Amino acid sequence: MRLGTLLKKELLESWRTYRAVVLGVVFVVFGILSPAAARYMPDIFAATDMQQGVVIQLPPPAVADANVQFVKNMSQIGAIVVILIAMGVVSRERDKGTVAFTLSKPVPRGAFLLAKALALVIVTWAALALAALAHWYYTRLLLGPLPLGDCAAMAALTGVYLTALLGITFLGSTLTRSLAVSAAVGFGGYLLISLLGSIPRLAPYLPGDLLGRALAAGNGALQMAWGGLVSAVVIAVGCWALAWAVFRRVEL
Amino acid sequence: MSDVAIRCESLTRRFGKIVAVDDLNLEVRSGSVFGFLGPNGAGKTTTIKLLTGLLHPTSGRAFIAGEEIQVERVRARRLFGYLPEDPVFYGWMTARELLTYAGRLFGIPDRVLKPRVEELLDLAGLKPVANRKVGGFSRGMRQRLGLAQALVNNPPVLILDEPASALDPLGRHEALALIQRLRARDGITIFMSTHILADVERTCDTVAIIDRGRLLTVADQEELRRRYAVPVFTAVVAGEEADIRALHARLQSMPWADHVERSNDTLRVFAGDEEAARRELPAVITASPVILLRYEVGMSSLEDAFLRVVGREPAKRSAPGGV
Ligand SMILES: Nc1ncnc2c1ncn2[C@@H]1O[C@H](COP(=O)(O)OP(=O)(O)OP(=O)(O)O)[C@@H](O)[C@H]1O
Ligand SMILES: [Mg+2]
Repeated sequence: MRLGTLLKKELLESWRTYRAVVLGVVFVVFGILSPAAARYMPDIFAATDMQQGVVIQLPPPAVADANVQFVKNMSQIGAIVVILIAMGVVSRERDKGTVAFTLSKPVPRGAFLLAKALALVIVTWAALALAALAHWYYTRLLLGPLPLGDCAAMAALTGVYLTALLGITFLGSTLTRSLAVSAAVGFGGYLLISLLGSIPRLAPYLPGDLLGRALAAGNGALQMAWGGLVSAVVIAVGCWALAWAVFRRVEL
Repeated sequence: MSDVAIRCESLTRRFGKIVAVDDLNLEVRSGSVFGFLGPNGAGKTTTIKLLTGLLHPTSGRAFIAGEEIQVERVRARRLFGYLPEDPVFYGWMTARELLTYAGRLFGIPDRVLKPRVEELLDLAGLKPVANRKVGGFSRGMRQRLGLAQALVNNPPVLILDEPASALDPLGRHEALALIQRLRARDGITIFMSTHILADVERTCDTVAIIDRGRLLTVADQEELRRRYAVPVFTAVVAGEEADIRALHARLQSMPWADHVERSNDTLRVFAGDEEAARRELPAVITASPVILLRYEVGMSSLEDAFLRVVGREPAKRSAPGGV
């Protein structure tokens, strides 16, 4: 019940301060842009090529290209927006002092953190769901058939990847009252995961593995391996637990 | 409930080398209005943050209504309402939403909460701005809202960190009247820090004075005044600057004068020996070339008592009235 009050406040806050709105708009825009780019890029190239008199043979745009665009956009631009949204979620409240308002009342700190983390996850996944719907609709309109289930699986696996990044940024946000440090932890974590993911031996056991599988899922050829999924969940939950262990004793 | 609303046992808090609160032992009787007095940096806010579980003590313990306060413990937080020194709220909420949110955090059911919120808005004089975003509130408005939210759960103990510091004269008058009303009606215990002595004089029955983290004295207000009050003779004079200065020096050399304070043409003589001062003071003044315009005998104020306790005699004070 206390958690419900806190969660409602977090969701209302991210709506009123336009954070949820920004996230939703950015995600939907890239949801639309992914099939649009796949469809019109070749035409645009073709148009410029003719002027320059160079001829490049481009394969016809396909649904698979749109899916590539989608996963790339969400895991790059989407990731950046998610980190920007998450980095202030606790540290800003500590910096302003509003955290003392809530926590001098009979509110367990665990519930306070849980509500914040849940709100982030809810807002991110809702934005992602809208983006997937937009992607699905415009892909069918412009390119060809895309089963809704495949599209949903693709978005969901990308969502798990983003949730791991949320966890890391959330931890950064809890550690200090400095927004800069929170941002550094979030983007640092993102960079680290991406770098480690480029080592072939490690790649299957890192969240980045989910992105390839998301793409396969979108193309109806999902072969699940659990390394990426497990690592993402462990990172997200582990970061939250660590955040709580630290925040429990923090002075306000 | 027990007889003691707030208890500190050897409460100590260090920040590096600074000892902000130093071995504080304190008991606040249930139902009293307790003034926690001290100059800037004395450790008032630190003590209050220890009492509200926002800071860890370096050593020692604090209790509210018998419940030990600890940062990780939630239970005791039901027992008090807290107004921070510089209250900040979620700027995107309206005043009404904020009070409702505060009430829900206490688990107050909506049926009870709704009328309570309206009552508090009224009490704090915030009815006209109830639907305005708190982000645009002035500091005084935030303090009013802070007082209202501290009362939302009808707490047995109210902890206020300088409740009137940002209020306009009317607001201050209302806040102090509210504090008096609360006590009369609910038998609530109020612990308020302040350095405004007039507020203490008006509302508090018990006063503690701390300086540099150490508790210097705890006493009933009356007793404090009695203990530290001395007769003060006030003389308003006119004359040459040199003559007034000479008179000032002459008065200071009198054996019955503890010290003499001067601001412009007013001389205040704090008398160690009242009898002797009564007899001899007028003669000393008339013997000097200055003209006596007004002469008054009274007792020193709580402010003088405060300054004496913290060891800063009125005579050494630079700005009269400041602490
Ligand atoms: N977080 C902190 N870090 C370091 N020193 C601190 C901290 N908080 C307080 N202090 C120091 O502790 C001492 C007491 O400060 P405190 O805020 O309790 O004083 P105060 O009595 O409330 O003063 P004021 O009347 O100005 O509000 C001061 O010397 C202050 O500098
Ligand atoms: Mg203070």
